[in-house]
Amino acid sequence: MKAVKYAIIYLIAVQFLLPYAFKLSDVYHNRMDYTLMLNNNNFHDIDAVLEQVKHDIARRKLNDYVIMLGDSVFYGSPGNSDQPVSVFLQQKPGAPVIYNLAFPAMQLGDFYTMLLKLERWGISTDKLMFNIRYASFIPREPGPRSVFWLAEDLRKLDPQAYAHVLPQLKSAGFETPGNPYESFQRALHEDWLPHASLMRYKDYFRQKLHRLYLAARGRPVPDDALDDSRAWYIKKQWQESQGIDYGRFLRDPQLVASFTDKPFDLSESNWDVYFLNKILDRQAGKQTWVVLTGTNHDLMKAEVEKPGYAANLQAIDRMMAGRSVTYVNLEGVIDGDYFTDHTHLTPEGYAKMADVLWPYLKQQ
Amino acid sequence: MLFHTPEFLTLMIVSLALFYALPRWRIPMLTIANMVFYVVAGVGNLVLFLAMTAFTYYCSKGMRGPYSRFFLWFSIAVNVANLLFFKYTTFLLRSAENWLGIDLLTDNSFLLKIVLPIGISFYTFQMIAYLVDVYKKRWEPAQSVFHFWVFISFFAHLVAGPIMRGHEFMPQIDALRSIRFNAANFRLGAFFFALGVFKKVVLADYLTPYVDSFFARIDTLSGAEGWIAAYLFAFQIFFDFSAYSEMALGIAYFFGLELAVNFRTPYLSRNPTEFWRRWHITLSNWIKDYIYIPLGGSRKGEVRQYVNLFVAMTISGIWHGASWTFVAWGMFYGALATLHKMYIVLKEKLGLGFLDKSRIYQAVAIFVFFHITCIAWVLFRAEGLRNALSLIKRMLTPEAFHFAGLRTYLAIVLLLFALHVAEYLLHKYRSHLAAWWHRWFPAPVRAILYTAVVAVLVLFLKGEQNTFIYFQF
Repeated sequence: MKAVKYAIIYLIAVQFLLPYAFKLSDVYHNRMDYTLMLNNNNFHDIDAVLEQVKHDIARRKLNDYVIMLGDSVFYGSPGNSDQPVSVFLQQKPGAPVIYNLAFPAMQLGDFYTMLLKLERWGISTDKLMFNIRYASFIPREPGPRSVFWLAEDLRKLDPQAYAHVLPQLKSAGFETPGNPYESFQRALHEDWLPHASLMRYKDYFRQKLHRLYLAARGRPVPDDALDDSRAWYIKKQWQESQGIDYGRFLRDPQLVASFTDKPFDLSESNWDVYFLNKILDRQAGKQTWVVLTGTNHDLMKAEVEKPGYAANLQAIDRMMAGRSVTYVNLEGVIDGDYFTDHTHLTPEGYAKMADVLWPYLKQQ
Repeated sequence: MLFHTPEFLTLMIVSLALFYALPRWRIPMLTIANMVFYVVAGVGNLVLFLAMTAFTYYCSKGMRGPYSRFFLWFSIAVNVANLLFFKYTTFLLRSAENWLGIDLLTDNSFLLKIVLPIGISFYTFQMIAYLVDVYKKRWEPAQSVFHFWVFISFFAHLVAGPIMRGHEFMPQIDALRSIRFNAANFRLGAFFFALGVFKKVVLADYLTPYVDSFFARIDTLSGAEGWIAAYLFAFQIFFDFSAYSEMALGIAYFFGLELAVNFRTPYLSRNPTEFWRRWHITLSNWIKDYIYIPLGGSRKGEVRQYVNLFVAMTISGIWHGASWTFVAWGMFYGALATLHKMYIVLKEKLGLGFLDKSRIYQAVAIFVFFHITCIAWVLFRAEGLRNALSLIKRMLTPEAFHFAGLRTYLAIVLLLFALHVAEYLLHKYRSHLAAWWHRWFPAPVRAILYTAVVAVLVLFLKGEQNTFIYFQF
């Protein structure tokens, strides 16, 4: 039984030392690993990234860095991790380090929760950039959830905001414990186990092993692009040559809804405005860039030319005016040829976006 | 609740702490712990289980009166009816529909909504064994309904065995209060539990997606791919089921209790008789003691012996599941066991008994029998008898033994077999290895390995948990 006592001591040591066995590049390559988290259904992997970002900042003694939050556009979808806008921004002379913590499908509620997580990890958000879109403010009928990935984190970090938004989350399919056993399970998986280093890093550990295996067999690490990132008209031509109806994608109900021209309610009863206000309140006195990433005006011509669409955009502009942020509206700024679909860009498109954003970043 | 989950580990640690802290309260504590463990499967399932337990217990008490035979048959009938209803109703009705060409079940029939209570096959057999043993006065009825409940529902073996007999487990339950913490038991428990978790988390769960992907396209598999699929499933099901049994053994040792060993490296068997002494040992002993021997065993002549063997193995197949593939699987082993008996007789008549001492003969026998087992596993795993037979047919063509393009899988299978042999050696020399380990490696060094084992098991835990294959039985 003496060995058991030593094993307990060793496990305590592992708890504190394991994070130092990893580098930032093990958990983050220009952005977080969406596929890893999705495949393992484990969004606590984000905590490992934040921990390594913190270590990286301390190790490099950085004072000047930018935290980037966002959805799939700032994530760089559908391209690979060498193609998000943050990569191209960091190539500009004198550019600061940018930690791109954007993640596909993140909503403004998730951005707010990420802000709380960053504060919890002691990572400064003195310089924060995040993107919004026209679709960020459409009515939720009832989904998607206004806190899409990080509701459990919001529950722990801001119980009041969580309680306030819970009815909307539940109406969009979010489940809360229905009996004592489920409450126990939630406490175990959401409150206690994420503190264990072994649990936080296990997905990255397995990934690292897999990459060592690939290297030993002389095989490259597979490209981490999420999908085809060629220009939309090239994809359209190819699909039509295969007899695939490209218009079917344009008729998708979710896509159609995201371009609604009904007047936006931009009061706090709009969950995104609620969380936007909470973000901006928290960022008071700090440098914040809010980028409204635009739409493919060539592909979505019929939608963007509706008077209601333009009116809603103006309403968003008015809402952002007078806020102590640097607001950049990219609607119609980037040519349609640089888009890969209605809202995401090709790698060249993200480079173009970086060219447009750089002057705003450089100013500060 | 799966053993290798944080939920179960938390509950087990709490139960262990209370077990050793409050020895006088062990029966009530385990009574409640077993209920908590089982209620996760559903309150209705728990109520049913409690009802069957109480019913069986009071029938066993009734066997000490003038109507003992009545209580025996009545209680067995109710237990069997309970199992039949939940497990076989839909299967029997659907089969009758196919045979008779009529509709017996409508789409919204409540019979289609029957959910199999978890562990029902295991606890039913355990109750029947107990009833027969009490009737035959091999054992006295349990001291109290709570003792009986703990005997039947001890959470370590409740869901997927081992199937414990009264004489094996009841004395331990009766002596629960006198159990003292024993470091040797704890070490043994840790060894078995870790071995089980390793087999489940590192081996079985990683084989699952490969096996599933092969069997998902069973129609298009070549003969060689069929062999690969069968080999991989053979190891998947072994690691999965033996993992559960070993974890159960380990958990019991933590409590100072001893459960029956259920697996002894079965793929080193040379014939079907040996296989069933190594695979799911407690089930095959149950079938032997409560089906084969009551049918007459080998006491009523050679032909009757073969019939009894065939019937017993078929029932074993049926027990596994409500599907014709399981029936076929059981009949396959029944036929194999019968043929093996005939083969032994023939071998003796031809004076070839000396072959059994030959190592080459034994190695060939292991090789051949392993492949026969793999064919049986196709029956077990495939969806539908037709698919299974079609694949087996392809596996038995000469082209099936050309593994071009499948060499990596073949290498994995060879590695898994090597692990199987290593496991045999590990169990054979366990006490020597343990003595050597403790003698030559000081505690701080041993602790490094223990820490590494825990770390590896946590690191390889998948987000989505695969349940155990035998939970569906």
